[in-house]
Amino acid sequence: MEKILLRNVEKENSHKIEVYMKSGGYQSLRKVLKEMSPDDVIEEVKISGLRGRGGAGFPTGMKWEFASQDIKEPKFFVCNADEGEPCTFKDRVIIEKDPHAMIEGMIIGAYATGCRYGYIYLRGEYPIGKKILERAIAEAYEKGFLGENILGTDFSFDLHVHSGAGAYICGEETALIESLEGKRGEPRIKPPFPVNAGYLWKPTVVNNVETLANIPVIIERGGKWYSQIGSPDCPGPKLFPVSGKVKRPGVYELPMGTPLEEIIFEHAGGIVNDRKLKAVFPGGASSSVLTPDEISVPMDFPSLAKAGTMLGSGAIMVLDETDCIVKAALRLIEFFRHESCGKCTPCREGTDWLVRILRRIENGSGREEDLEIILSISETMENSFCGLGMAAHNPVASTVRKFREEYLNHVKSGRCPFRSV
Amino acid sequence: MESFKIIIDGKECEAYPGETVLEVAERNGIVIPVFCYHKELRPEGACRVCLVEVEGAPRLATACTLRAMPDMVVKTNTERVKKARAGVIELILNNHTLECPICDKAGECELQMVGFRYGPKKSRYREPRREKDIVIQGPLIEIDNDRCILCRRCIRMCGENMGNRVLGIFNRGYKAYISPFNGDFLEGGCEHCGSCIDVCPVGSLLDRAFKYKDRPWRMEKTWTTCTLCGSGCKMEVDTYHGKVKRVVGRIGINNGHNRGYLCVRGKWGWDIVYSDKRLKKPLLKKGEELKEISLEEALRILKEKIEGKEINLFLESSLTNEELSKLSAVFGNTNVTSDALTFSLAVEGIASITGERRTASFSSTEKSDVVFVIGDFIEEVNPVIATLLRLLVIQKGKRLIRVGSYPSKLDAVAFSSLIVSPEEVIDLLKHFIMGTIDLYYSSGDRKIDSAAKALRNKKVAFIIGGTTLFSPDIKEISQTVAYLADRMGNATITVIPPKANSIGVTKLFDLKPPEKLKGSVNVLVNTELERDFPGIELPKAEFTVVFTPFYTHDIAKADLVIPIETGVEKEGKVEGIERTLDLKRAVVPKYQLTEIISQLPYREGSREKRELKIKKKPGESILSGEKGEIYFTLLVNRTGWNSVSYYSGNVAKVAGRRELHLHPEDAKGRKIVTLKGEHGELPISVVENDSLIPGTAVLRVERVTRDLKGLVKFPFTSNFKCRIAEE
Repeated sequence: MEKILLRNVEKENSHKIEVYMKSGGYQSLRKVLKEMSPDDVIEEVKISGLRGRGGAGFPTGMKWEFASQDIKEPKFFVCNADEGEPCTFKDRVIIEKDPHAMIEGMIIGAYATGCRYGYIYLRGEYPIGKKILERAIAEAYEKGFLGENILGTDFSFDLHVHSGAGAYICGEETALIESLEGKRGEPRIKPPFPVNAGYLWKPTVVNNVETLANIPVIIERGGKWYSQIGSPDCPGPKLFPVSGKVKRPGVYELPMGTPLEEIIFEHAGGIVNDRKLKAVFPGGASSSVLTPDEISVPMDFPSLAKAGTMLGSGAIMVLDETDCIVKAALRLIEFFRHESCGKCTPCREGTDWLVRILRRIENGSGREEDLEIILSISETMENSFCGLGMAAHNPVASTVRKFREEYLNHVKSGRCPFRSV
Repeated sequence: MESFKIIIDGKECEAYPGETVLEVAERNGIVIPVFCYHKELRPEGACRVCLVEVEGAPRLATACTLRAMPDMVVKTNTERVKKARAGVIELILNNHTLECPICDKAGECELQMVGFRYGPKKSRYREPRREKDIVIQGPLIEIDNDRCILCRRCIRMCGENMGNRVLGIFNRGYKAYISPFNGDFLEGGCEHCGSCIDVCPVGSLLDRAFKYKDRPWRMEKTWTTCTLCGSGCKMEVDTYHGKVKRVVGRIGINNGHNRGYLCVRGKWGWDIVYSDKRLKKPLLKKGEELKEISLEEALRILKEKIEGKEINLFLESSLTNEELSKLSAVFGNTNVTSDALTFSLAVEGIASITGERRTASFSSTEKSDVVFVIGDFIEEVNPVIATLLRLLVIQKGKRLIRVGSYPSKLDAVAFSSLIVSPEEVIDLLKHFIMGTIDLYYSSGDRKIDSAAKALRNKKVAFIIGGTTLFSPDIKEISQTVAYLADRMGNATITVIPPKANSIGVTKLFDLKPPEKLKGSVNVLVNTELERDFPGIELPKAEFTVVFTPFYTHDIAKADLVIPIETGVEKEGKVEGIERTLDLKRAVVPKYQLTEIISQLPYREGSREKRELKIKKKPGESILSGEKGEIYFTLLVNRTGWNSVSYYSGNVAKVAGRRELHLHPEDAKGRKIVTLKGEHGELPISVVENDSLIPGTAVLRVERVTRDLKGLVKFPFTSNFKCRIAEE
């Protein structure tokens, strides 16, 4: 299949503006500024059916439309590059290998929504990405794609990189905005949504890196062409970072709706040592687990939601028969406990309690009634303040439901059966 | 505003746009449990206890953040809600230290009540309790993080409502804990208003003066009024067996105009009653010594000495109306001076325009669109009034414009704050007189013009207060403000009384400057000469009587000293900023002023009606500075106002320093300067403060002492001229 998002990554010095421009880069921006009105851009994006690649899958065109309708000034355009979930590394490829695609997407988005200033909120642990982005922005300024009166039009846009300080919660858009304002990274009450009251309580568009990287292509080839790729209700190419017990882990660009089975066994080469597949987390660390019987599911937002899990960032984690499911769930919930901001009770206390119970089970002092407690904690955590808490319990609760036998095995034998003594 | 209907638990409730479901429910008597929500605070949605079910919504929603929408159907007591609620409360209780037997909050703890009513009936938690073991002790406030449920009421109270931002969260997730900046209250800039303690739903924030002292449920509660400044805050005094244990404001429950907000003096100044400087018995001067005598004997001598004599009455204006009327009946009401003299000048200035010696109540600000404050350091003199003004902006969305000569805490929320040299204040106000009426008038300063524009066709509440009341210009300023208000038509003027009953004193007595007193017996009631009449010598007299609760420096000048009550021992009424306020005795004093005075013979009153000259024109500044002179304000710190920190052991722990704030231009890098006033000089350490305007200085003191005598002269202690000695 033709690569769209990863079209440039294999070229030498793909992060340089010359390389990017040689392959038609910044032509979409030129086209937008010279030929299209902001409303035309939004219309084109709406036709394309592009949905946010950050995890929630909100239609990008709609988000831009809301922002462009708001009359408050100035508006801000923020790129969410705080990719901090375990096993998610798709944005990194774009940031480090094709930064100009996202910068171009950002400028187009800013033009469409009328934003004057832009920020790239970059994960604190991407120091290389920061250098590359800063250089790329400097190059874009030099060529006149950023700054005052871009390409001779009266559209101006300034872009800055803001490095996070290592908090996963700052990937949540309102927490990201709080952090950007210099406050403690904690989610805000919604509504009002950032499109109406975001950074400094001004209209703010927050888009994921991958979403923005799609924009130049949509402008170049038209929304109609784009909407025919992949699943009809959420079209487009998607980056799937595959990790775990597969032969070829890595980032794969495939159309939306590619079956999970195909990704694992064809593209990623199957399971290491041809062992048996045990479980897959199809959408990052906070998604519910899928068993081997369920992996024929197409990877897109609605199909996975129907299967009781979610696409999230699209990060696929593969476990084989030698992996302990309790240990996997424990590792994931430990991550969420560490990253919970502590604002709301269910997430702060629930993650801690889950960790304590799972540690006990893994160490062989679990009890059968613990499983009921886990499920009831997970029910309470549904009422958390933000998405982190609402999803953090998923890996635990879903493994308890689907791998109950293994949990009971831990409880009954008083030890982890996968641990060599 | 158009109201609409929503249905909560089958009951049709009236709701207004912008209201949350919780507010509507509360008004309609439907109880929804809460932790992080508080009436006075911005909703946070953090505790997740107020979950409700909304028809048509897949998830439960928090009632405190959910805006009411027309035709919404909300259920607060379905099985699903009950289960979710119990689940959240279980999570809070799991690691909550159950120190209820020794917790000061037990009995009035919201976690106990909510847990009892809505919590799970059995614990499923089998893990060892997670201990934070972080206790942060300040001089008056203690944070026990083991008991904290991280509802963040204290943080919002401190940062948003009080504007101090002392408290914050350290660490994250399950390790999060509350602490002041750097773990130090004083370094963090804590004003010790105690509001954080008041809103804490559990026993995490503690009043150290009350810690381990008593149990909340067995104490007797007396609602009274604080007399330590003119704000007239309503507060609850808790006593047990006739001894005061603590004072609480009860924010959200208190129905006084202060809504439960207190300051350090109100919250912790109650122990002036138990000060070791309290006078225990009447004293009589015999030779060079003061001898203890009985009250009967003291009264006998007093009767003898005052008979037929004209009396110089020195009044401190925290006395109640009852005390004042008795005093005026016994000692006369024309040969009187008081520290309310400048307040009466302000009233006089307003009266010369409006024709009546009356000012509007504080609630006029609620009905106005713009609050126009003329005053400096209101946050030091009347801290609670400053808080209420701040809340008018952040809660009610009023615009606040401030005119003054020094920076203020209120500037942070002000729409516009105009800080000019003291002699220019009146000229600035005159720009407003023109600017609010003439659409095309320009003062030449955009800031003034935009502020004047904000006043046009708006209801304006003028507030005069703070140290501006002690400026030599006060009468002229208030006259100018009254003229401006008169021209605008739709405006009210409130003067913030600096002391509890400044208004009452002004009404009952014809106040004179001390030099004009012509009697032969001096009677000082509740005063401290240096504090209330700085720079004034007591007139020569045959006999001097001092009524005072404490051993003051005045006692040395007295022939007879009679003890009286103070603070929460007082009973009666005072004229507050809002209305006449009730004082209820929380503890019974041994000596009561009214009782003592009523045993003295009344004399015929001879009060003539005070003439009022109406002249409809703005005032003219009487200040003029020469080169090299600076205006300085003697500012008594928040803690030291009314000598509270001198008598109260609690407040003394957080007392401020004595220091001179100078603009760097005036300070010129000096660490110590000598201030030269008209009659004396004072060497003092300097703090460079670039938020001041050049040519002004603030002398912050904790207590007005004798060495300040040469610098200021009663009645004016603000905007006094002085020089800085060149070395």
